[in-house]
Amino acid sequence: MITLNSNIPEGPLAQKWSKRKSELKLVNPANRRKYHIIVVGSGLAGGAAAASLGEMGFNVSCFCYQDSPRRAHSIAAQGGINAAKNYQNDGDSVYRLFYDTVKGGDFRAREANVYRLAEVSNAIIDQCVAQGVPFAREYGGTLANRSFGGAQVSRTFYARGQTGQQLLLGAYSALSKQIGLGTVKMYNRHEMMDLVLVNGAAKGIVTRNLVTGEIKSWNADCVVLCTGGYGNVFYLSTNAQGCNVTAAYRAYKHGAGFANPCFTQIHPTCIPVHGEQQSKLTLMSESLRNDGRIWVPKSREDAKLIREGKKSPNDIKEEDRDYYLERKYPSFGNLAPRDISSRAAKEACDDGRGVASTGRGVFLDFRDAIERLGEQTIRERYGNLFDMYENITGVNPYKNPMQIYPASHYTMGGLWVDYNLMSNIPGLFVGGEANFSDHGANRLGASALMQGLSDGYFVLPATVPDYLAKCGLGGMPKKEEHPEYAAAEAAVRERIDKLMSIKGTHSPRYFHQKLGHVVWEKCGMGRTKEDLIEGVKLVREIRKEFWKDLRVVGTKDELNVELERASRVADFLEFAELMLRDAIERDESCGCHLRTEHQDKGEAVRNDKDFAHVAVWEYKGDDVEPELNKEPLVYENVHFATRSYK
Amino acid sequence: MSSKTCSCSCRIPSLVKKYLMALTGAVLVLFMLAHVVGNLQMFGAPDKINTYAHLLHALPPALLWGFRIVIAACIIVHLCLAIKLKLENLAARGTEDYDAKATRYAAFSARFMIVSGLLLIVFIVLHLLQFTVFKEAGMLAQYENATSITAVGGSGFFGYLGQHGNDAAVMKYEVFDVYQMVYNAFSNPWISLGYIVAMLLLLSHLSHGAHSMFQSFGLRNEKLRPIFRVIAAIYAIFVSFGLISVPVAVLTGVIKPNPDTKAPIAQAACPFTKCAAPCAEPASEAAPAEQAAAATDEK
Amino acid sequence: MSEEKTISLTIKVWRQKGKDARGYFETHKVSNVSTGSSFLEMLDILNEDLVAQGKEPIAFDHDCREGICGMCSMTINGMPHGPLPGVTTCQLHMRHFRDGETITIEPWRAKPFPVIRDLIVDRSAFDKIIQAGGFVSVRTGSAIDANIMPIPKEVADTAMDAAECIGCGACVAACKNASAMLFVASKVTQLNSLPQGKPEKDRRVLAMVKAMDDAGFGNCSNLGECQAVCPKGQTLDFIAKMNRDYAVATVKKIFKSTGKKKK
Repeated sequence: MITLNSNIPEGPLAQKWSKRKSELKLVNPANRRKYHIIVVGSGLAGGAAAASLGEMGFNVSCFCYQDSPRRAHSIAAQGGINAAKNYQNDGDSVYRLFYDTVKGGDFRAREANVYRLAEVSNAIIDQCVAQGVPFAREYGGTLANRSFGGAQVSRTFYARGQTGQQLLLGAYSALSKQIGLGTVKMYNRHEMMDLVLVNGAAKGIVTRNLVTGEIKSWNADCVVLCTGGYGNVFYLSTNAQGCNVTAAYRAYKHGAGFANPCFTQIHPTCIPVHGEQQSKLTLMSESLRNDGRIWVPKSREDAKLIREGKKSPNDIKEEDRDYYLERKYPSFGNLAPRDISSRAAKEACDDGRGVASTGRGVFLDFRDAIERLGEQTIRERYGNLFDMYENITGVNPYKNPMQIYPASHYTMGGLWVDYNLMSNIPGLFVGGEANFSDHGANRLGASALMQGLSDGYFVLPATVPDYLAKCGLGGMPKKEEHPEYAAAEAAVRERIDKLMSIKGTHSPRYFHQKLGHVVWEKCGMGRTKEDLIEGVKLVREIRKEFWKDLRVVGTKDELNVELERASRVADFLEFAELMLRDAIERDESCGCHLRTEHQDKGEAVRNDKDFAHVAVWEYKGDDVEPELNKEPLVYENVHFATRSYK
Repeated sequence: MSSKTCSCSCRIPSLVKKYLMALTGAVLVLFMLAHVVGNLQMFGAPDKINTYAHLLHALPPALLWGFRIVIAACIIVHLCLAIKLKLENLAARGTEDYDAKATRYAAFSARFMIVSGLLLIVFIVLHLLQFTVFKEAGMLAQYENATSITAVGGSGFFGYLGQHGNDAAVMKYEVFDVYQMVYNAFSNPWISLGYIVAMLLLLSHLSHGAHSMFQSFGLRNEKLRPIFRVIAAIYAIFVSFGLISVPVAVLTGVIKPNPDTKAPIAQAACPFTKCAAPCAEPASEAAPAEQAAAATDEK
Repeated sequence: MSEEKTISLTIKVWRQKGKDARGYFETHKVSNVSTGSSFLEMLDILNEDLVAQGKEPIAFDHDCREGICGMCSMTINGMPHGPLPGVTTCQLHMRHFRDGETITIEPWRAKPFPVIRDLIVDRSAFDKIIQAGGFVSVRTGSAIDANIMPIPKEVADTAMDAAECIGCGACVAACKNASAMLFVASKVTQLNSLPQGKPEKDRRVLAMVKAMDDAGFGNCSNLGECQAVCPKGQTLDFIAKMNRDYAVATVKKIFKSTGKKKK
């Protein structure tokens, strides 16, 4: 049983964060350099946290597996970042952003955390603009906003279709400045392999140098994990190839609670899979749904002919098209939230009316918009997206409808953290997508960037020093005095040796692909208890096969991409079971988690009486069932409501 | 401050080298324009270019040598930097070059700069030896021809310099026959051929250099780039074909030998350096009326 | 999807064990490549084949596979990121190749980008350049309200154009002189154009150019090859702007007041 003290400050919602900040202990500037902080990950959360802590004077080491901190996958976010600035004078406020986020998360997020997120959102925009992030502007020189993800206000700040890139480069520039000044030491091409606990507190990590294969442990006063999400458990996802669960899963194995692992977001507008050779799915910005109409043929025969290439979608008459989102959700239509439109696409395809050669695709059609607004306007609005689509598929979307299909995109679940973003392991902080804290069961568009930067720039730099001050100087264990470091290194070496020594017949990619297939089929958009139980069985089988039949070529003491993948897949194979188990345990539908048993005419039915809690899983041993702990979600300021987008 | 700074002080910042290349290049571009205008006078009467050449030589030595030193310095700096840049650039590629070579945009002439430049240096040395050094040192007897030029006081070139006001309105002087020297040189088809090849190299060199320098100074953008390219192309074609036209004209007989060419000059006869003294052959036949008219013009 | 078929190719690829090892070319056949696959997916297939034969796969850098992270880096038939202009290797699809074609794949070749293994090079020189001055010095939390400083749309657009650079290094790889000017100029243009970046304008350009020179990159000779291969459309305009800014900064530095007389 782990103690889940959410550590939320007393007092009214709007004052909680200020109150907490005034209570937090500070570290004397002269002493800061004597504290050593390890930050794993260099994306929005990690990069911003490392830069800010370094700037405050702490001695920071930052690790990333890529060749440069600028490559973290935050860079791929397209749409934008929300903030409650109300620059558009449309009645936005911190409270509204907070409420939308809680509601969007289907009431499975922690109220106080979400409020803080909305509260610091404005400072994020200020900070980024000051760094030189070139947000879109009006002719008058003020910042432009757009409406995004079905919000009723325009609160999304954007930099063309590359907002994530620009925000990440902003954080990267701040980080680079500190690296140049020597307060942050950057370790590129280093992968975290394990966490080191000393007397129950996180005091270091073990890394593998991906170039030389060197296994090394690092000691510190505390560890901050900003290692992103686990979407690659599906094999095909919009995540980068290297994204993995290893860091978070290793922490879990050391006793950190893993919260809501079954909350994974499926993004409705991705380019469909073209075949078995596909390695990654590409997301098309959701903004396309502003003007595109989503449809499938009304009849299965038409769909079949289109799949076989015998009929062109343009030949399907208006009355033979099923604009299913407009039909089912007349008021939101094609702009229905991500989970709803993803599921609707799946339903249409399950009904045999899917298009694309695989039958897993629906049309996103701009014919009417081009007729109404002219091709030039559409080109101005979406030109780069259309080009991208044509480049990938070889189809001209001005002439033919696009084909889209949902794909795994973001994971709301993650390591459990308290209000201060510290996990139940003292000294282990978790920020960004790697923690579970702010999005509940579904994340709204343009909120991921906001959360990453909020954690990185504002929350962690306030709460980490508090922990350090409480530990006091000299809290950093010396490596030679504590056998834990050497033991952790040895354990990592042993695990690598084990992977290398199987000498079976299949590559790590083979297992990853196989695993992804199972997880997508059994724990994708619609989940049933039977499927999930079946899924657990299948995952166990693959895992068994993996440890018997894996083949890792090359050696461990050099750059070995196969070994890297093998080690990541090994953790995904264990993690997938946890995810399926959580999905079984959560016997309700909420947000992205749709248990088909719990729906009313296709709409998710929540069970607030039994499931208004965070499911926190505790590791008990390799062959022992993990234990479920619950943190009840108490809503003092908002009331449960049913999401309706009809 | 610290002693550390001197360790790499020999290194010139890459952008400073770039500016120097562009600056020296710009001077040479202007020089070539003047040069080609001078050379095109070969198409006029022999007097024309002989007068022009004589005038240049008659400039005050400080000016003449100052000018020569500036041009020479530009060439030397341009050359030395080019070699330095090339060596640095080769080193920057590393030990291994691409096996498959491809170019998407960079013009041949631009990639050919170092070759065309070095060959041009060879040419310039030969060119100076042939037409300047040997001539001035009196080493090549066949060039030491004299010719008579007609100087009209008060107007034209002489009048512009204002050195020979009223004392001689129309005068004939005996000067070195540049026209014939050029004619003799280009009559040799091998010399002409070499010259033409060198001028084609110059065309290549200038067609990149003459617009690239604007980029180096930061005075160009995507809108202006095509315009600068066209201007540079026109300039380069004008200069190189202007210069090529002379040997071609000599070989095809368009330019004919100087009918007035004479035996070697015994003593340099210059109307400007010793204008107070009577010249070898004063223009005594000039009509007084003309003299008066010229004098009135002057006022 | 468009009409898709499968093609077979011969791959001539650079292999190099490590930084100081000798590199060499290896030739492999790869068949059954769907024309809908990306170039990297084609390499995945080849690698799976190699692994199945017990051979070591070809190491190459890649991550996001959607053309934004800038990690993928290979020269395909002598052209960084391959024959299609305006895309990164991960966004290059096999329909642009003919059945039976031989493709030569090499790493970026530049001294400041030493080969780590096969097609992977070390681009930390770029990080060093950014560390020298590719930032606006602003403390976290000390920023003024974002709308207090209006920025003309044209300026913001120029900054955004320049900021699109993904730092992949194709400009260096393509440049006949292995110069990094386009990369440096993009960052300089982004930050020097914006009012936020003005106070550090001069020291930024001087420091970044110095870092670039120290890293051992070649010199720019305005060939324009960098802009032709840049997957993000960065132009020589940015280099022109940097040339201007550097000249101004140098002149200012020469005539700068030396400060108070020392006591």
